[in-house]
Amino acid sequence: MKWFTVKIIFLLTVALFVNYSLSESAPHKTSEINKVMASFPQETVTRITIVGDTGTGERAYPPGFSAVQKAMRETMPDALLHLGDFVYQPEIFPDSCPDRYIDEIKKTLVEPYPLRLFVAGDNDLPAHKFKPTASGCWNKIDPLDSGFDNPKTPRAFEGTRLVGNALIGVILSFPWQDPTQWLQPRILEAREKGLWVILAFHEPVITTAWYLNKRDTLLKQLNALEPDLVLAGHQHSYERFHPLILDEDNAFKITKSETGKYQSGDGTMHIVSGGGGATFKPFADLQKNEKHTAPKEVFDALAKRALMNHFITLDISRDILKGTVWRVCVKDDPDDKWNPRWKSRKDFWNSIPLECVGKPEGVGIYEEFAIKAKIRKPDSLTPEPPPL
Amino acid sequence: MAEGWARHLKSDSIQAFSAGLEAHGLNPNAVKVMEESGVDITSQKSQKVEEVETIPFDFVITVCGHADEYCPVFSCSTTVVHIGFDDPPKLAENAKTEEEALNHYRKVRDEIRTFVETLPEVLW
Repeated sequence: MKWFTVKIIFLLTVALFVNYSLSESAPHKTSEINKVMASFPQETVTRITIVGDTGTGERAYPPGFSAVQKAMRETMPDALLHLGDFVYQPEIFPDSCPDRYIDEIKKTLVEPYPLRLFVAGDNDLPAHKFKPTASGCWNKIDPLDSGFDNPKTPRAFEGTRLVGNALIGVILSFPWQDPTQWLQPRILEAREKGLWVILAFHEPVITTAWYLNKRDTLLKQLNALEPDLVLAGHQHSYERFHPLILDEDNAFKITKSETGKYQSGDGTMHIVSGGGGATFKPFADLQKNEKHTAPKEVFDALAKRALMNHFITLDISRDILKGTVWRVCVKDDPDDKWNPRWKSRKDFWNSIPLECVGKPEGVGIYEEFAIKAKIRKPDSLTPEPPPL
Repeated sequence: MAEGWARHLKSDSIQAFSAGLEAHGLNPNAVKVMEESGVDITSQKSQKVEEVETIPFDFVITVCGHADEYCPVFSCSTTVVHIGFDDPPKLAENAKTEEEALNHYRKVRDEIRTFVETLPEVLW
C-alpha cells in the first residue's frame, strides 16, 4: 500500500423514497444526513406541481377543485407544493375538523404525490375572532406532508427542503415573523451549491387582488434574501409579477419581458396562485375599491393576472426554472348548483370577467415563464459519466 | 459492486467503503456477476451510513441513478460527487429470465468498472 491513500465511500440509494413518502408522515430522523433528490446541480429535471386554495368543503367551488386535482395528477409531478387553504367549511368556531375533509385531502392531494410540501393557510389554522370560519384542520393536515430536511427553526410549520436542484423554503404567514435569521444561512449554502431558491407561504406580500402595503416590511425582508421565486396563495387568482429588486429607497427596479423569459439576477419573481378550487373574488380595482387597489408601480410590475382555476408546474433543472401555468376550465352548466363566483347572486359580481368564460371545458396552457441561470459554478467536481 | 471494483483495481491508492440508508444484505446477483469478473465481494458487508459517518472520507460518491430517488448526502464538508449509474435491481424488475436479469447487472458492473478505473485522478 502506498503511504497515501484516498478514502472514498460509495453511497447507495435505496428504495426508501416510495415507502416512506406514501406513509402518513415522512420520517424526520435526518440527524447527520440530509436526504435530497440531488446533492448538487446535475442533469435532472424535477417537476413540482404548485397549487393553492384548493378548499375542500362547502364554501369552495367543488367542480373547480375536482377538475384541478385531476389535471394536476396527470402532469405526473415528482412533488406537490400546496400553498395553503385546504379546507373551507361553513360553521363558525368549529369544535373539530370533520374527517370527511381529511379523507378527501388524502385521496386527492396526498396519495398521488410521492413528495409533498404543505403551507398552512388561514383557513387551516384554528378559528379566532378575525377568522371565525377557519377549519382548525391543520393538525390533521400537517402530518400528511413529507416534512422538512431541517426542521430546526424558531417556529413550527416553517422549514426547508431540497427538491431536485432547488431549495424550497416554507414560511408561516400567521403571524409573520422575519425569517432572515434562520433562512438566510440556508439560502447562502444553497447558492454555494448552485441551487435555485424558492420561497412559499400563504398570504402574498405583493398582489393587485386586495392590496396591502407590505413594501417596507415583508417584501423588503423577502427580496433581501434574493430568492428566485416567491409563491403565495390566499387570493383566489393567478398573478405573476416581473422579477423585481427593491432599491435603497424601496423603489422597484423591474425587469420586464413580454415572452416571460428572464435571467437569474434579474430580481425576485413573485407569483400568487390561489385558484385550486375556491370561488373567485374580483380584483379590488375592478370593484372600484380604492383603499385596496394597488398603486401604479405595482401594476407596472404585473406581468399577467386572471381569475381562473389553475395550477402551475415548475420544471427545475440546473440551468433553467421553467414554469407552466395550466388553466382549468370547468363545463359551463346552467343547471349546476355551484358557481365559481364569490357572491354570485349580485349582478355586479357576475359582470366581472373570468378567464374561462367563452372557453371550452378542459385544460390548457395559460402562460409559460422561465428563469435561466446566468452563472453556474464550474463542473470540475462532476466527472463525465462513463461511456455506455 | 463499486466498492468491490475499487478494492480489486485500486487498493494501492484507494480505501473504499460503501453504505446506504438501509442495510439489506448483499445482493446475490451482484455477487454472481462480480464473481464472473474474478472479484469476490462476499466479504463485503451491507452497512448503513451511520456506521461509517465518523470516518473522514476524502470523497463521497453517490451512485444512485434516478432523479426520483433520494440520495443520502453527508452534510459535512466532504466533497460529494454524483455518478448516476442505473440501479440493477430496478432494471431487472421486469426480466423474464434469470439470464436476462443478470445481463442488467453485468451492464452496470462494466460501467462501474470503467468509472473506477479513472479513480482517484478524475476526482481532483
